[in-house]
Amino acid sequence: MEKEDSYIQIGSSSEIAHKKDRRIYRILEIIPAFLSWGTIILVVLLSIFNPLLAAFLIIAFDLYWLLKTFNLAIHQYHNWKRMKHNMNVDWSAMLAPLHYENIYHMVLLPYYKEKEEIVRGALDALSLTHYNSQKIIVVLAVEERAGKEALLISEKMKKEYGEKFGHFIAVIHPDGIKGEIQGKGPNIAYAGKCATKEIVEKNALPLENVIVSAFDIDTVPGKQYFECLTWNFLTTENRHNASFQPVPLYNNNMWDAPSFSRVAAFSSTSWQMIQQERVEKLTTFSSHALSLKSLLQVDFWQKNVVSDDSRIFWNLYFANDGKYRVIPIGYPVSMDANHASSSLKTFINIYKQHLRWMWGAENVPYMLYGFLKNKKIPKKEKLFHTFVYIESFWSAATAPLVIFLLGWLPILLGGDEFRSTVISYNLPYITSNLMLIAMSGLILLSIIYFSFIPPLPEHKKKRKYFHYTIGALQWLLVPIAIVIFGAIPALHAQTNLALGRRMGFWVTPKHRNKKDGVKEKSA
Amino acid sequence: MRPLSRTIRNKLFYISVLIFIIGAPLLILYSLGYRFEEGFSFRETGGIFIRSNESTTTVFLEGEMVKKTGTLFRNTFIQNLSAYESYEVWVEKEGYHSWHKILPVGPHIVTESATLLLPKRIECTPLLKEKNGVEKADALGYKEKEEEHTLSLNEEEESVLFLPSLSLQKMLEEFEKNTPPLPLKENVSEEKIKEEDMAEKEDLFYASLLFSSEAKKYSLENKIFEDASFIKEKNNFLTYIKEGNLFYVWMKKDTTPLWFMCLPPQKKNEEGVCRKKGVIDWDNDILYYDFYPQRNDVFIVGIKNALYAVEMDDRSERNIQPLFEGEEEISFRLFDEGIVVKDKKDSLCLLNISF
Repeated sequence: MEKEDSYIQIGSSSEIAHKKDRRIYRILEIIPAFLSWGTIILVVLLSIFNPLLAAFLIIAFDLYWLLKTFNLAIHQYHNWKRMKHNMNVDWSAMLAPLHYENIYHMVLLPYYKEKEEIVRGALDALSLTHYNSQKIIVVLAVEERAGKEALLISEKMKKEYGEKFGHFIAVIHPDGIKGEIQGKGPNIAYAGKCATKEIVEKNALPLENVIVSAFDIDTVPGKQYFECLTWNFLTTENRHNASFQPVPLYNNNMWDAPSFSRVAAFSSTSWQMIQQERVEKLTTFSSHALSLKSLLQVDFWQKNVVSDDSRIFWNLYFANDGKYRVIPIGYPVSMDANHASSSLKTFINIYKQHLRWMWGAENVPYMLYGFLKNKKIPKKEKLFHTFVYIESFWSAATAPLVIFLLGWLPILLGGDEFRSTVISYNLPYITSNLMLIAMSGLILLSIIYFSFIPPLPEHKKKRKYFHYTIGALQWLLVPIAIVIFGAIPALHAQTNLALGRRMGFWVTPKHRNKKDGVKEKSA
Repeated sequence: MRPLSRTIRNKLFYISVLIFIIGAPLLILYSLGYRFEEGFSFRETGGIFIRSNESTTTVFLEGEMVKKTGTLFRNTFIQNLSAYESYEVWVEKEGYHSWHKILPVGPHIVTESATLLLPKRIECTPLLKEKNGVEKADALGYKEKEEEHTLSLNEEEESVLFLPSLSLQKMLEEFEKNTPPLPLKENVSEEKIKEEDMAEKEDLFYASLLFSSEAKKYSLENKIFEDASFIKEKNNFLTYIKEGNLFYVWMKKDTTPLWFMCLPPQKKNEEGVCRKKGVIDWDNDILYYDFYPQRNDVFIVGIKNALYAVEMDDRSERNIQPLFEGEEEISFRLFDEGIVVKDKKDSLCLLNISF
């Protein structure tokens, strides 16, 4: 079949007009849940009918996981060193020999009902960056449905900050545009288009010289972020066939968020740090950047999907017949860890946020369908991405459950005969010892964590030993956190996808204690 | 600084694969009980698991201490024991009778055992009736003067337990029944048994209502009702006294009997053997019995003037530990409060032992 561009904007099977293709896409939507549930059911059935085989598989899986953890820890360690290095590099000096004077940065700041202080925090942080502010185009993207207050904030911010940047535009995204979901994707796509028309075209800025950074409203870039990004952009071959990914550090409000929120947040950061070292497996996530020229190739972000941040990679990957990649810039942007007015609300918000992230499984059928449609991508590459992407969602949903919960099933369900075997007695010892060794990686995690968190706020310094002790001990929550905020939302999202229950975009509420302001980043 | 190079990552990957390919089978073989020996051979091993009814014990294997158990973790798992051999296990606790067993070990199998550790000295607290809330009370069934009591009362400690008269009355009524209360099937109430005076009816009818179909079939086929007494079905065992000996038969169809009724293979290419029956045959006639509270492997066995806790496990000599030893005829019943002993003069006392 000839390559058709139409598949590039597909959001779900229901949007496909052709019956056969719709069925194929529908089947592909079931694959992630089929594999995850299949694994869980297989472990349960084997534990009942062949507990010995189940025990073999569990021991082998635990060893595999230990080796994987060790491997990933080396990746994370290297990324940590790289980030520390990059944060201390004088990027202006690095840029000096390059012709970067005509490089513009368009920064998209979407917001919904966030309070003024959050929006102000993002703009303050932007104004503190070292890049020539006249080359920064700030696009404040507000949702019309957020109401008057949100619109007033955008007006106020425009007045206050308009002069601080080369260009400043507040774009109101109209509510109820046909074919759009309510979420970040349609908002930044609309804002990007408006800014292109109103600023880029009117000022005749070359499209290939504009780098677009899609931020969240709580994203605080390091002071040299734009220099670092520009250097990476200019030194990358085929730069318009690449997205640029910073490391999201959820540490803006680290000292105020409860321990389980910090653990969940830093686990996400850790994963992104690891992915930064596995270039061929990296896709865009959360705050990311790419050239305006690339964006125009696919008409900006997709407006009918929740996971617009990762989908943009696949859009461009297929639009360029597989010749598209993500460049890990190894430089941080700081964001908020989940923190609501109560621990329970925080807990629920973390779950919802992770559910939204895990809904990224919607990219699995999209990717597989794209592979079926696009014949120009080499088969080897298709196989590689298929394995890597499916494995990541499969292991997110199953590995924590197999390791921490299902590993005990052969003993519980295996019957008296199995219970009297040496392996049944050894199974808990071996699995817990392997996991204990794997958990030693938490020491590294803790060291990296402490190296990135901002200084303890003044009002907390009276009990600094308490806060530091909690900060060190909180990592013991990791096994619980990866089950509750990893495996369960992953299964939840994959099940919804398989059942055809579409998810809406849930906006993570931003809450900051009054004593917090915008933190000065160490970079 | 560049991301981790492809060369380093490949090396890491291949090292991990190599460790996995070598490590996974070795780990699985180890967990199965194979132990590597000099000369690149594997030795088949098994293990012994000792479930303890007491905390803070000392466990010996072949005369050497292997573990001191704690307060929370009472049990002991010993592995790396050569298959097809027997091992002497000894468990001690200060102030308690020690527990001793010789256990066979099979390949890849764990030989289970459960200790029976009872205090060397078990007091029996007289049960007295509460009277108007005043501490001085008369024991139900007691004569007015304490010295007439036939149950031994430690005069130095003089501890007694006061119970509501109704509770004491109920206890005595239980003792008046000829046999200890039989386990009732869910759909037959005790009231119904009394109403229909079923105890007086024929054995067949009696058994059909009270026993599982397996127990009923076994009882009828082996004519248990003709010459046995104290026939009970409890903890999946049919138990009865015949000619002064206590018999027990495993009744749960299509299941492996309890751990102590099975022996692992004793030689290569042999199978393990399980028995379904056992007997406690003593020189003294066993007069009554019941299962020790919360144990399905220990009986309380009564002879004329004494009570003993006796383990059913006869893989080596049984551990028998005294619960109560008197001079005159006694009997016992199990209540929520514990083991209650009654003498001929209807004096009651409660054994000071926790379960």
